[in-house]
Amino acid sequence: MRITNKIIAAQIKETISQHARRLQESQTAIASGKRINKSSDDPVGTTQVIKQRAQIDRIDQLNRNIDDGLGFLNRTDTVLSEVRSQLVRAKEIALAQANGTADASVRDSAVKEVTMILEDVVGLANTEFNGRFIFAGHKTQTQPFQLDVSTVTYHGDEGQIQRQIGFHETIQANIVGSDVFPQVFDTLINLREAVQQNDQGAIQAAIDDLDANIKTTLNTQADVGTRVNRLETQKERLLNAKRDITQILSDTEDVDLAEAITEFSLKQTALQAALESAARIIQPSLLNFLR
Amino acid sequence: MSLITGLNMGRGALQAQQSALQVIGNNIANVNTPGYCRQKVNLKTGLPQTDPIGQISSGVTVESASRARDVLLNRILRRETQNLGHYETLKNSLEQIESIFNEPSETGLSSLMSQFFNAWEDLANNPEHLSARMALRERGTALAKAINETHFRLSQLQEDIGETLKGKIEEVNNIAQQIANLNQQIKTTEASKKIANELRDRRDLLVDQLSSFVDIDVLETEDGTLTINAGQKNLVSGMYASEFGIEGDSRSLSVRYVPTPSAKAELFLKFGEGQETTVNVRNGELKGLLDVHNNIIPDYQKRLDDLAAGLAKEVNELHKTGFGLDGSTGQSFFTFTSASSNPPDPLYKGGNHRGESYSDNTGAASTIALDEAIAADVKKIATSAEIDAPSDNSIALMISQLRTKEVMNEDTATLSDFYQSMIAELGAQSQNAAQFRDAQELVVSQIHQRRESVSGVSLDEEAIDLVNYQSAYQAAARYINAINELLDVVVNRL
Repeated sequence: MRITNKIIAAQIKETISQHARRLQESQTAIASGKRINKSSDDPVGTTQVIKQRAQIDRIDQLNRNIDDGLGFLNRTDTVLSEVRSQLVRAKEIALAQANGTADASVRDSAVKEVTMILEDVVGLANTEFNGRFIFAGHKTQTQPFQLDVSTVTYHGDEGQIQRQIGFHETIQANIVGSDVFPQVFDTLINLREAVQQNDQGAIQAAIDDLDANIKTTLNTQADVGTRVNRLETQKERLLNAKRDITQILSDTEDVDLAEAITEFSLKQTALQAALESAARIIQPSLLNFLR
Repeated sequence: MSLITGLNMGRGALQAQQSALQVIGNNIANVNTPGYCRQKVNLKTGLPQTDPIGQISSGVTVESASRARDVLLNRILRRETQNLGHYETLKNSLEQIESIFNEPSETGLSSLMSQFFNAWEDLANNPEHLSARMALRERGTALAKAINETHFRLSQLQEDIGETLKGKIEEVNNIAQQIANLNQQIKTTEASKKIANELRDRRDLLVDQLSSFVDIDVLETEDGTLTINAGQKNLVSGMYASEFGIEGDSRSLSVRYVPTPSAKAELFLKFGEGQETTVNVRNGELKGLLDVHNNIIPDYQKRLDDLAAGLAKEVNELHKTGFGLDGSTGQSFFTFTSASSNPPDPLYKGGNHRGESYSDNTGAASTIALDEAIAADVKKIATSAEIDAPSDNSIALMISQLRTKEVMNEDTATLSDFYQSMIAELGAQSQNAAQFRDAQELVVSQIHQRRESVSGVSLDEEAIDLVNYQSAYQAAARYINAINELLDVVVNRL
């Protein structure tokens, strides 16, 4: 093949621009830190990156849901504890009144105390958290319990509030007030009446009811505790999943810097070699030697 | 042989070397001229004269200066240049489409979709709170706007490509006209048996350029003119050039054939009245541009339409069953603004396979928006399954779960599966085009070099020839001098 000046010039230009382009690609990869900068860099990798990013987003969201659920349940647990300690106090009062020896003034102050406990428990049943009545079912914007001397009415409903805590899992975040409180109110109102009238039988019955209420409250707390545990386990699990997916995402889309930098300097050397050889090949010509 | 004949022979030799030197000078001058073919002087011995001692040659004459070229390589080069033009155009356009979708990134549609569904879950956590509702409204608007914008930018690209196509067609017409002019000049020049080397070089270069635009067939006729068919339509015939035009609407363009009167007459003879006037462009940049304009962009727009329609339909279907904070129900979340000249069929048909007609969801992507009522009052966002149950979030949760529900491609793909496979296909298309283009560029550059190897000027070669002919010239001069001295003896000393 005849080699002409133009062939040499064209080839040198092509080689140099090719090396320069490769060097530039390598530089872009290092600068962005990403192996995939557009979908044609790796079409399959691109969909994986999109999927993995969506999953990480999803996990972050689930974590927010879980935190919200935990706040709700922890608050519920605290309230139930307080209800229980009020019930224990009521039981102490009832036991003190159970022997029938107390005089009218002692009974009177006991009645006042039970009334205070009743009001306190109604207050607890109307607990607000983040602008919501937590025991009102779905009607969180309505105060659920109204105390009217010796009756308590419920204005909530039986609605369950769900939190999305896994890709396909939900958990109930609320305790419906009507499941727990009406019995407690009944017991306290009955106790107050019994003490007022010094009705020993009724006081005894109220003590039994109080025991039953304390047990129910404890069971409910245990239920709440189980849910809290489940949320915490789920949180841990999601954390692990996120760590794994982040690792996979990084493997898919990130540049291995050590490798990229090595490659960069290799390409740099190649470009230099091309330039140097070009400088030598374009110089000599027969014309230089003719006199 | 007489001495005078000898003088003539010397003169002929001087002239021949001088012509050769002139050609060398021309070669050197044009070493970098595009399209220039190295020329070579063809010398020939003069007619022999009969002498008593036998035949004696009468020196040298210049026969011609011919171009060094390889017709076959030209044909191959032009064919491969058409392919290069095609792939190059595809690659560039697909890269632009890629940058419109801008994936993978934090700002692409996939990310906005995932944020949209996350906002539904945030709302599910706080259905009574206006702030969560407003956040969802923002996310919903952002998603709808991004879909509008992506569709709009694809339309813009389509428009730009239409403009480019017009420009390229003008270039084709321009080149065809120049070739027709050169045909005429070459025919006139060569009528007197001289080869019009430079004019032919220029014409060859123009044909090379033409081949990057469109598939061409080139035929050289006996009078030295070229007949060129482009896209199977006669573009240049002798000194006449027909024209290409453009027809169609913003959605689909085609190249129209505007024949010269003579070409029209010929067509009429062949096909009669009503001959097909659309050019069947099969290769080159025009083919690439037509493909992108008529098929590739509409295909991605259609898929966006399907995505927008699918999203709106699924979200609305659930949303309508729910209740807002203000007790409203039956409310749509997304709507399609009536600004569209071509409002989408409100009943999404779920057809979203390639190659289907545009009838189903056309306009969905360009017009999807938040329902006005929702945009005006976030209390109307429905989260509850029952009325007057502000913290009932079951509808919000169901909508957020749409992201994992298979609602596209006849219930075989989720919305994001559908979108991701579109991005994967775009990436693969673009990658393919780039690979083909790179390979084709290599092929073309190799053929260029092979042709250059035949037709190109080597300064070293020319330098050798220069010395060679210079010596011959000097020797011829010396010879004339010698004859002159002989004549001097004969004339003056005898």
